[in-house]
Amino acid sequence: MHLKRKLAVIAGLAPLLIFTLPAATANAHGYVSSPASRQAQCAQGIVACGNIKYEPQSVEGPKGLRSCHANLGQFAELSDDNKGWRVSNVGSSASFTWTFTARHRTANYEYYIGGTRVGFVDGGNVQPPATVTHNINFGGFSGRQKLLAIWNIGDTVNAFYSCVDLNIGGGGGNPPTTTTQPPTTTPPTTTPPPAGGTWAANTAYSVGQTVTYGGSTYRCRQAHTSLPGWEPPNAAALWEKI
Amino acid sequence: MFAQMMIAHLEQGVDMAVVAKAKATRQELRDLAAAVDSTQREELTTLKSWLQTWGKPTTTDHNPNAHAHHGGLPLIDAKVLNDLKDLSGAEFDTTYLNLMTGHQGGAVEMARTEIADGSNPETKAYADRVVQSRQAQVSQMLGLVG
Repeated sequence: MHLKRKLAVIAGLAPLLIFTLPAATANAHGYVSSPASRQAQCAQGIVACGNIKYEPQSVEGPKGLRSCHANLGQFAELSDDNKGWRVSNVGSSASFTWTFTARHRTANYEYYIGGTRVGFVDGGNVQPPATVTHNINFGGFSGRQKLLAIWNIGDTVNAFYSCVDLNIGGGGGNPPTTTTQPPTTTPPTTTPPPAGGTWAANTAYSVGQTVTYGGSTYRCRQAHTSLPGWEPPNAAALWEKI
Repeated sequence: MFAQMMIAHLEQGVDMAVVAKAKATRQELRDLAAAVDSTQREELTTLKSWLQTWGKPTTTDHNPNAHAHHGGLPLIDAKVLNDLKDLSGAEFDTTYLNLMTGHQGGAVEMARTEIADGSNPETKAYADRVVQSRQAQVSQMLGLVG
């Protein structure tokens, strides 16, 4: 796919291909997970978002863009500064951690505040390690700032974009990182539900607890916090039907 | 093809979860890893039985570029796993969370591809559960990484 895309770009057919290939061919990818970038906040449920919540790693566009959404219409909300993004308090520098779902050969990483490049890390045009953290100095910027982190890919024309909302000098340690701690929108419940209650997602269940689901009763085999997709009939490893 | 790719992906996830359920410092992370371990083993059994019924092999080419047009195989390899095993304490937790967040994000991508392009209703229903459960895990893990 990447080779195809590259050849298509060379042939000047990119627009045609981009619109005719299914979106599912995307072979991602990465984003800044800490401090939580805008797409990480979507994925975490801190901010209500569209499809970006399923693919925070997919904000991919040609190199050289300066937008939070890589100019992709379906992710435009990432550039909406009034969506209630959580702001991370940081000192005069902070560590930025990338989460990858695929490790492309990397040209470099860039960090921008407005038109100023405050950080540059060479990628050596090799596959990056599985986890990447950069310490970035904000070079005198202070207060509320929107930082754009860019992962420039070595073997495609593309880059991945992540915006992180910062309050520089806002009480964070120096150098470290975040901040205003969660509340996530789906915190695990710490209080055990009453025995025999109906199964619910995002609930902490302990061994031996019983729940009902779809008219049947199940006993918990293994302590876990329940998730959608782990309903008792779909997760016999976690629930025994009784 | 989705089932075969998913098997490779599930096995890599199990490899990491097995390490984390023993080594993670936070109980909630150990519990999550243990639940991922057992649910993904259950999924492996299901997928392998489907492939057997269909008369297809259950293994696939682990070359990460071999299936790029299907969404690509993911990022964990033997070295990454070994490096993870060498870590401990908070550093282990953070690294595991980061790797697993990316890994499960890759599962969401593969499963969404199957929902869009697949034809077997049973497989698509499974893919839908993968999207939901992995997206919820990514959400939880992003919260833990803080």
